[in-house]
Amino acid sequence: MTKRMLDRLITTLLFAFLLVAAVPPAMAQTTTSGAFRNLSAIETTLLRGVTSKAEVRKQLGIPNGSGAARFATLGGDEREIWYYEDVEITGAHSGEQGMKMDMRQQILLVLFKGDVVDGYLWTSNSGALESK
Amino acid sequence: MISQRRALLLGALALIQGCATQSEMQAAAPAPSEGKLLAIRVEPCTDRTGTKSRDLAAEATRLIVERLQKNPKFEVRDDAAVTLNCEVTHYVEGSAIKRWLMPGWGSTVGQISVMVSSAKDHSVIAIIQGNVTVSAGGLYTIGAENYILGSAADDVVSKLSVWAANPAPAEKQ
Repeated sequence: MTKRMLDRLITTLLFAFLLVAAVPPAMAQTTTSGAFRNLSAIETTLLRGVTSKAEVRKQLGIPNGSGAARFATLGGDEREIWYYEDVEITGAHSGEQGMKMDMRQQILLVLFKGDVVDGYLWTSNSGALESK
Repeated sequence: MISQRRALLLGALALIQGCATQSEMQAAAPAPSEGKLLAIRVEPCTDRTGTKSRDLAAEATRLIVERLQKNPKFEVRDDAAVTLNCEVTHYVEGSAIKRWLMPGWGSTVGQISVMVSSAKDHSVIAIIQGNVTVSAGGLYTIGAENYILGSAADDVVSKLSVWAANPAPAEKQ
């Protein structure tokens, strides 16, 4: 391979790199690990004794996990539990001391008695965590 | 001045291909052993990615049904005691040119989540997630976006197949 051919190859590669880099990325601005994102909709979505499993799945998606537990305070009857998690990078900024990333982590447990919602528990670090 | 070694390195880079499969399975109960074949009712899939350029929900439904029908362990039937719900939970078209220039850049990603539940009481029997990523490779990875969901569906059905063949406790899956 001659030097001229190599130069031409490198020029072509650089041109392709610049061309591709100029195109805005198709990826969304945020990165997430699950379908469950909107906590504000939970209170209107999950109604105790009313909302069915199919409705929960429609609203929040397929859970990340499931299981069952007996609660002494609920009479010792078994409740099916669906587990949802959402780990989301909500922003990234370059600062003086390197890259800063904003991350949000949310966990939701939905309890079912038979086919309907019997309660839920959730936690979120929204607005509280920042990593460098 | 460009050395010949650098040119060879560039050539080798163009030939590298990276395709990774990452899957998760959680089985709450062994597969029902009602007969030789496990009958499954497949509900239409849902697209959670918001992709407008393609009907990913219809594609995923077709792919899952096709894979199940080809597998000798399953029978797709509307009156089955087990229901399968599926969702396309992640899809990124990616770019073969970006992958060619820099591995990890322009990755093509496809992820399908599946929930198997009892048709009788809707209790969850198994949850499976199949994730396939093409993160590096030459220009011959062009079109990865066309087969990525099929690979994710293959992964999901192979996990289902193991579950159906070996009705072991959930901890052993």
